[in-house]
Amino acid sequence: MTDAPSPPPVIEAIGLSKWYGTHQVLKSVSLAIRPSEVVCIIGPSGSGKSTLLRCLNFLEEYAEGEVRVNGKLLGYRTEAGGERVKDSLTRVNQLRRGIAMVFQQFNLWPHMTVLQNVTQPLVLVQGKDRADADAIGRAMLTKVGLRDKFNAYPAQLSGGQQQRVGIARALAIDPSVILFDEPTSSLDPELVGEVLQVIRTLASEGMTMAVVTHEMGFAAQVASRVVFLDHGTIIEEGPPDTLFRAPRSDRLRQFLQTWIERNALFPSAAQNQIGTQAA
Amino acid sequence: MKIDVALLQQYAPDLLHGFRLTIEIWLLGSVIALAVGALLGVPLTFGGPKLRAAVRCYVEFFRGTPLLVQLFLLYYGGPRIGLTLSAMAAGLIGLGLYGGAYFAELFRAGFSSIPTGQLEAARSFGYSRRDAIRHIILPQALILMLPPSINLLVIILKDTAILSILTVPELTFQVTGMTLETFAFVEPYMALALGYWVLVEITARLGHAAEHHLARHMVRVA
Repeated sequence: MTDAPSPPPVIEAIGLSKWYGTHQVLKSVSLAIRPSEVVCIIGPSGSGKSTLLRCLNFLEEYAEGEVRVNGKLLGYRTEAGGERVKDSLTRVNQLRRGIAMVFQQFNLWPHMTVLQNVTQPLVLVQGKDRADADAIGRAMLTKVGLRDKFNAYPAQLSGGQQQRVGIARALAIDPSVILFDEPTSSLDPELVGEVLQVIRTLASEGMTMAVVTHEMGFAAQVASRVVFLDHGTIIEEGPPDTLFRAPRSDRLRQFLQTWIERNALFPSAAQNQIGTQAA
Repeated sequence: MKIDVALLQQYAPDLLHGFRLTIEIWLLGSVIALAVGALLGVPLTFGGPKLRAAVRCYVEFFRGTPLLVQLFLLYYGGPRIGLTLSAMAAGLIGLGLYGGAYFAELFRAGFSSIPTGQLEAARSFGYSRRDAIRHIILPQALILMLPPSINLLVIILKDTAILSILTVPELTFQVTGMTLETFAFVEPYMALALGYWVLVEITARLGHAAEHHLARHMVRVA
């Protein structure tokens, strides 16, 4: 598969570096996400996973390197003299149109109904009329299993349901890629499954996705490629089978070991999770 | 203690006139204050550092000095810089600028209280700053701002009394005149207190009703 000519990436980070003060969170990270790929980004807390993901739609500004969306530079433009300046919000927003994001804390808008949460970006950003937006919104909410919740308010839903609204909101804009920032990390354990199931369905339909996650079982099952990030550097990347079963670096082996130990209470569950089934 | 009802009846036209003027000054002054507050609250929250510093200076000056002093400066000091205002105009402008400083701070607090995650979601979906403020921040911030706004409106109402010192013939001015002419103190000041109190009560009740109406969908999110 690696030898086959690959289609151009939907979104691509090239030599991305970023600092918080003097602390370098990303160290020349390069990552290309191609159509229908599901790239899972794993790594310990503070490794820069979320920062990397947030740079991909310019929620975080990066200092060096490039993010390219369908080949176009995101967030900056190059002046005639070759100098790089920050791009206007209008232009950034144009490129953002094809990128949807799902957040750890859902980030739904609490004063709107579930349906309004999904349709408002369509009306305000894409200029669709109410009826079209409503039709799309209903279809997407039905897809994530919330057809009886159109008129509920976010606070009336469980965490798992709220996150599914978040996914419906992302799907509604008909994105070319969806970025998931730890989509199940703030959910009660028994609600994780329903959200992962939705993401799994999207993967099987060929949706292009980048998923920052701590759910190794899920990553093993769904990812077309797993990227292991530590201290702002990609230590290892590859198909989940290779990465999980035969890690090359000590760092990844160590990281996976802690995860396996944590699940050692129920060894069969841990075994099942790697390779076959999640939560 | 005996209340001289005849005295109150005699001065009723003056008192009512003053009462009406007080209401007018209060409403107009509040509208100016709200407009100034909204206009300054946006840069105070979202502006760049320089703009924020400039607005901050304004707010600190008008909150930091007494309204009476501001009114004197405007009314008596204005002509020196070619700004001659009637007592009424100076009073209204002064009240508006003064209340505006408080409203600006109130708007800032309201705007800042919306969790950043909600705004990040709006940004990630490509909302313009204007749309984010209008559709995400304002609807929620206004509900949060309602109780302190009602409070501020009540304070502005009572501060209209200070305009009497500039000879604006509002309620306090009329009452002061009445005491000077009749040497009666209890009746005039009772009427005065009652006048303000009635308005405050009405405002508070309207405020509660509005709060209840606006917040009917807002289930608190943990």
